[in-house]
Amino acid sequence: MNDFLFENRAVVTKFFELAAAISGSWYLRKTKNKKLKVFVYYLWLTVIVETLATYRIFLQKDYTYEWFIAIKNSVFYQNRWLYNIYGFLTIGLLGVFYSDLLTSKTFKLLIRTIVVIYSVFSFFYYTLTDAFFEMGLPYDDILASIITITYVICYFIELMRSEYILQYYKLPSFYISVVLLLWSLCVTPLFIFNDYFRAVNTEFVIFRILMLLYINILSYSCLTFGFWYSLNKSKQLIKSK
Amino acid sequence: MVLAQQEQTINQEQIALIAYVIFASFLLTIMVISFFITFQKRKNKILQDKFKQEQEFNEEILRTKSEIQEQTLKHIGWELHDNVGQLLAYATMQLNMLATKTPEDLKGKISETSNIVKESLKEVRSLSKSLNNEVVLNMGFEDSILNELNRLKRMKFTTTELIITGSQKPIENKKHEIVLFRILQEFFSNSVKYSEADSLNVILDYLEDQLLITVTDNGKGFDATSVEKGSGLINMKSRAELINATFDLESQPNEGVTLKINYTN
Repeated sequence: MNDFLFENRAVVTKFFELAAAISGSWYLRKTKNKKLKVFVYYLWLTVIVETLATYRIFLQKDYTYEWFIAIKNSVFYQNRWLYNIYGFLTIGLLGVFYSDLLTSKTFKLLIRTIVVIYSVFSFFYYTLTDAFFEMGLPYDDILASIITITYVICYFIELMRSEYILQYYKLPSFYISVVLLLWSLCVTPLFIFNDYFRAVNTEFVIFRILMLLYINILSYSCLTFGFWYSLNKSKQLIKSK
Repeated sequence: MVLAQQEQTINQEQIALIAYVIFASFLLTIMVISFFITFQKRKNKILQDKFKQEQEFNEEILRTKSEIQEQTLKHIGWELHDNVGQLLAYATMQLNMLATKTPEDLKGKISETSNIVKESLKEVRSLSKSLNNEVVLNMGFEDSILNELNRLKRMKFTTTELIITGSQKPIENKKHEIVLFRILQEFFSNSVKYSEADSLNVILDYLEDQLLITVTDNGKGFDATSVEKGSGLINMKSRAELINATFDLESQPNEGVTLKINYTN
């Protein structure tokens, strides 16, 4: 089973991402919950970026069109630039999502400050160096994890203070936050050892790819489940009324 | 050959990893524990609030029931006194006039009838006094009980007695006074209906800030453990609870019924 997953890892990941995005849209259609719109946009963004990123495989082929060769030789050879934009949008969209979701002014301010600082920092880093097409921000993955964990902690603090805690299983934002937290926590150790992600360390490479794959599958399935389950629970409530 | 054990060098990533694992486990544990604790606290609070609401609702219903009952009794009391009382008074007058005009041999019958009508009028007035709570309050607690005992003695019992001990103190809350009177009235009425007793005693014991009321009849009693709680019994008990008084009804078969109420003034 590991081999199957390893061989087809691109397709498998995209399948689960797509499932999560679809269930998110389905939930939105059924409940018209405005606050979740941003997060569902983020899910679709993930699907689109992942799909677009496959152009790199496409580029490996040997076609002789002029424009094809031009792209192949340009800075767009690597799709690093796409993921840089994606990373930046992740922090931004998640920030907007949590900022809308929370009601406490201090937390909103905190989240917005983080987003602004991060945006300014990435902007200056990319424009002042040549890194945009070649690599991401330094410690980008760790930074993203820390920022995500901060968002989720703010959310949980507010949840615990409010009355909604009793209905936590009904809130899709609860499932989203748990998934984001667990994903960030589990994935960070893999990224700490990013430097070792070289072809020479075959064992580590395979381990990391598989681990990331499993974590992604689990996370996106949980998201799908979360949307479906909270939809069920709120339907039940309407039926019983 | 010497197998030298190479010193394992630890690199930066591994240190970072250790620090990270410690931090992440700490964070997760704290989060799970605080989540669980907060959840339980909220749940308990909601349950408590719900319970309190239910209790307040029940008390409110009881109070309304009591008020409606008092209104009805007052209305009946008035009607009895005004309507029936007036008619009986008129009848007495007519009989008196008739008495002056009748021949000697019929005067006995007329006078007997006149007495019966006068008795009826007295009973109606006495009953209407006990129904109307304004009259009860006007007369005072002890006098109202006395009035009721006298009426019942005429009706059914051989002896009735009211004993007052301690320094008499008026009951401060007038509404509670009425409730106490109604409880006693309920007990009297049950005694009349079921006990086949011939003696009914009431002891009012005024203590420092408490009033102990003991009511006994010497009737056939009932088995307190097996009897089904009729609405009268439940009524008395819930009224006592409404005014924060203790309520204790004891009985053995063939040994009469004793009611003890302890009211804090």
